[in-house]
Amino acid sequence: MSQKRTFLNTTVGKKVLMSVTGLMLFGFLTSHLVGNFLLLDAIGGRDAFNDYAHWLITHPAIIPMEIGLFAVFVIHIVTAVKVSLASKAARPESYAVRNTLGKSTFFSRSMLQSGSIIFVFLVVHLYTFKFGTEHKVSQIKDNVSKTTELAVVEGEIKVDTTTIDTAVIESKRDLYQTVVENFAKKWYSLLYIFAMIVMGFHLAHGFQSSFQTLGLNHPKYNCCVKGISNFLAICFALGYSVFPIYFGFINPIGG
Amino acid sequence: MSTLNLTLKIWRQRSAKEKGSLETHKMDNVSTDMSFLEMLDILNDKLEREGKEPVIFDHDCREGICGMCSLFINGKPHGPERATTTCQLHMRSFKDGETITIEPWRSSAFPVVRDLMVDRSAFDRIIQAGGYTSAKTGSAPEANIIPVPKENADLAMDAATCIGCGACVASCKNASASLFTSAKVSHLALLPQGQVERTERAINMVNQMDEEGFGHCTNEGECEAACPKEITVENIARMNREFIKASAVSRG
Ligand code: FES
Repeated sequence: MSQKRTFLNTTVGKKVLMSVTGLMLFGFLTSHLVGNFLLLDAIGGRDAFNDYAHWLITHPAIIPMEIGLFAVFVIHIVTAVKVSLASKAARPESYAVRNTLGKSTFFSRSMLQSGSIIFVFLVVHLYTFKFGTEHKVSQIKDNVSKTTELAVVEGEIKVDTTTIDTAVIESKRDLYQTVVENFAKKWYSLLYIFAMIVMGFHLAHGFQSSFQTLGLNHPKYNCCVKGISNFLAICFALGYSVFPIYFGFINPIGG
Repeated sequence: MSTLNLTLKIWRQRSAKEKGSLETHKMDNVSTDMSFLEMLDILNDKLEREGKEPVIFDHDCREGICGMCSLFINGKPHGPERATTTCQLHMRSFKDGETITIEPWRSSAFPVVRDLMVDRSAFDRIIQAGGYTSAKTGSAPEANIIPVPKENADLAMDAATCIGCGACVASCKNASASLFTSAKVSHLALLPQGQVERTERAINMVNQMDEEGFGHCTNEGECEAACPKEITVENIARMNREFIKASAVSRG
């Protein structure tokens, strides 16, 4: 037999990589969704959302976290493309007639397509939100700092005890404004909702499939893995759609 | 006994290198009691009498145990019936006037030899890579000397019913051989006799499967539905488990 492959160069290894990165992205989606709910007045509102966003982007761990997240996305996408190309090569001539045997689903068969739509969405999403219009809000911080000044008077060092009151005006990004302005465009909100539904499709197969790939398959738990997977897919598609629906159609405040 | 009039569209291809195409044949008065292969025998008989080349297809036992028959019938491996090999399929599963499309398994790892016959020696090489156990030869040991838990024996036997026909590969949208390979890995991993080579087996068989150019398993589950022996995808999870574990500990 020829040289043994390294783990990640085997079909099983590549799929393990897909499922592990997929589950990590799922974790990211969860935290992102939780943060989004601060957009709603009932839970947070403009200040709460902006404070949260500010806390996030100024957190010392944000750079390594973002690099990690970016790497996970890239690995997931690159491996997906590799796996798809290898599968195409494994059947160069297609069948004249081919019928499904009823086990695969629309979701499982269209992972590449749903993934591609999510990728396009991701680029647009980053462009219009993260790197979108920068609005600023200024807040007067109520803490007043006291500065002690050293004054040099005729060669002598004298400590001047005058204290100066400084009102610190902090300026931070009004991400809330960017969000509501984007969603006020109805076509934008509709496309956003469409992308979230497609993401639900992707998760419906992806989540349960990752367990099977990692070898976690037992008749005792299989039904609930599938059930949970479908349930989560619906939760995520609906959960993320709340915001474009609310700020696009129910209460378009950013228009 | 009722009879059927059928239109057959059969894949004809002279060799792996040449291009193939579907050829249409009319078949009248086909008995519903005939098996699918008997129907093809009659067609071939007719073709030979007309001085034409018969349709080449694989078969051997014709009783569903050898795994040689391998026809992709109307878009499904082994045709429309569940848990049935082509040789056990009967013409009563078809309707009068139906058009039946018959194609070979399609996979780069299973090159067409001629017409409907494909070369499945890739499976043999996967077995050679690890589908064996080391056993002391000599007189037969006492049968009950090694205890096997009933549940493991059952699961191992279920996996061992794989006849290596390749329907799993044929049905898979990625032409993956995961169900076949996993049935073999599982069968031996579940039994005490298979423990000695357990680690290397998982690694070597997966490696060979990849070497042959089969695709990735994307957990569609079509193979499980196509399998004439109803091997389940639980075996694929077991193979992945075995492979992940083996990759972590193997010194090879
Ligand atoms: S010919 Fe042996 S299984 Fe069909």
